[in-house]
Amino acid sequence: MRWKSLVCLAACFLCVSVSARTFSEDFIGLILEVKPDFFLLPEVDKKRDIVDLSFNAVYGPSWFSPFRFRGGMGIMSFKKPYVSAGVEWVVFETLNESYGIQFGGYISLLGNLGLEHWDLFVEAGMMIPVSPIGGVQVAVGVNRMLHPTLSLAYRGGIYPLQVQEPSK
Amino acid sequence: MKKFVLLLVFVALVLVFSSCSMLFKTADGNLGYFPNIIGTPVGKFEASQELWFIIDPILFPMSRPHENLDKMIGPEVFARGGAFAKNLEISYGFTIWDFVITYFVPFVGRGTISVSGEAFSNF
Repeated sequence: MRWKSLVCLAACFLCVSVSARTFSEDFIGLILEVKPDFFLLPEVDKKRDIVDLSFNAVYGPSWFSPFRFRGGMGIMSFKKPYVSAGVEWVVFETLNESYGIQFGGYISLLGNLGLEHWDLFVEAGMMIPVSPIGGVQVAVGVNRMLHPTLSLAYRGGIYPLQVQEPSK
Repeated sequence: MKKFVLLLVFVALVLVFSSCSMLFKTADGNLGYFPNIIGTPVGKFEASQELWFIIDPILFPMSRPHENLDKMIGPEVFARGGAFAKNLEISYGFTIWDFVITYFVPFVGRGTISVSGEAFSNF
């Protein structure tokens, strides 16, 4: 039974191709990020309940490669909402067969703008896969005051499969 | 303690290798390679089916369209009056909705198998 499966699999590889044409050239992604604020706010560094929670979308049109746009919103210390926007540089990235991100290294420049505060971040992150569409990213960097930052994110990203209507 | 470490290693391996390769096959064994076969083209086709899974489609698939490609290819060929198909292209990936579902729903994911090709009749 196992040999039959292997022969069938070999035949499949001979007669079919997994085509890149059916995948979009534009990247889309999502990032849910947690950033402990005690690194950012030394004066309250013992209050570990203060965290920065943000949700970002990533869009990477092919003409912008190796950079991608990033934007979203977040809340600082569960009190101060803000919007964020920036750019990330894809230092390296591997894709799986379904064109989802596998391993990746990224450097991002992100600005946060809230009603009472604003900040800028430069961070370098490394991602390891935990699902077919992405994984967990750990990033370190600095903010505009050069305070160190550390963030943990669940990020996913794909080059979408383009399912077309059958031609008549 | 040792069992716990082994369990952790297993979970880590499952997660790290959770994006391994996809197996494609047919249930009826009619996916073959016949380079010299000739016929009259009767039309191109494309079909797609959703593939639901837990954690990973290889490890815990909830549906198996990738192992039953005949159920996607056959009806399309026969609907066009064809007898066989050539120029098959089989893709597995995520549409935007697949991606959103897989990202937000814990452990459960959805992908899409897409098959396209050209149907031929014997004469």
